[in-house]
Amino acid sequence: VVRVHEVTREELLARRETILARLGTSEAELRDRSRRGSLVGDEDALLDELRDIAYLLGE
Amino acid sequence: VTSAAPSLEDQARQFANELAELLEAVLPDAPPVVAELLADRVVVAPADAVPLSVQGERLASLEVHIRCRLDSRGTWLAIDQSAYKLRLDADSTPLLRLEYVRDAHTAPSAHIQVHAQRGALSHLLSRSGHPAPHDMSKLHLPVGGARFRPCLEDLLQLLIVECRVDALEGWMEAVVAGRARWRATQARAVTRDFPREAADVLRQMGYEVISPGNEADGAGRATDNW
Repeated sequence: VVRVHEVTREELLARRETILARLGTSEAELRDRSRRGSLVGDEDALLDELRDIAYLLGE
Repeated sequence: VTSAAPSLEDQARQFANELAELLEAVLPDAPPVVAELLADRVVVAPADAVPLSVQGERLASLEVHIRCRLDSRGTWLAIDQSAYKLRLDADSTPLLRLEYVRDAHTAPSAHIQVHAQRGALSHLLSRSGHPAPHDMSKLHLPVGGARFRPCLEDLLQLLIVECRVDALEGWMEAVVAGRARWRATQARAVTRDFPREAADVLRQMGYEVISPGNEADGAGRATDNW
């Protein structure tokens, strides 16, 4: 089963905000803690989602 | 995009279909695959982590993220980055990562990171002044660069044959077919990197190969990166 859809920049920015609000942190801090190997719970999986968003946004 | 190439959306759909068909043929309970597009970029990933079970008991998951965009000519979809992570459900730290970053600067473009510890390795890294001697995952083990890196099918076979996770009947056919498709694509790319070598081999095999007289000298080819 496959779903293909075009996303908008606004949609991605809102999704990023939701993830970061849920984690209560910034993406920079999350990446920094990833480098130090100190992510917990589902933070590492959510960081991958943030990487997907950043990639689509061309950042 | 040239008129000969399918649209970005069609290429994304085809790529997502191939991933979905592979996962659905190999692993039980594979989630649907989603392709999201913005401008010339596409992310293809299962909607959720792919569950991995052993004798029916869910124990781990495989996360797949594939990030692609149109090539430099704006024609064909090319993989920019891929990340495959094996994770035990009871532990947030991945066990194993197989990653590819086309424009990696310092780490090998295709690499495996193992989240494990070994005293002897820590000793070596500690003596050599490594900043994280106790963390084996900081080592990026090179696995063949852009052209010769393993494909997802190889990782699935490792999980089934050596880690003994549950698989669907007939999984091997799907893995072999997918790997053949992958390697044929890579062989075409390697031929573009090494046209003279490819022509030599074809001549040795009895083919008649005529040089266009403007063969690339190989500068900047993807095989130059580790």
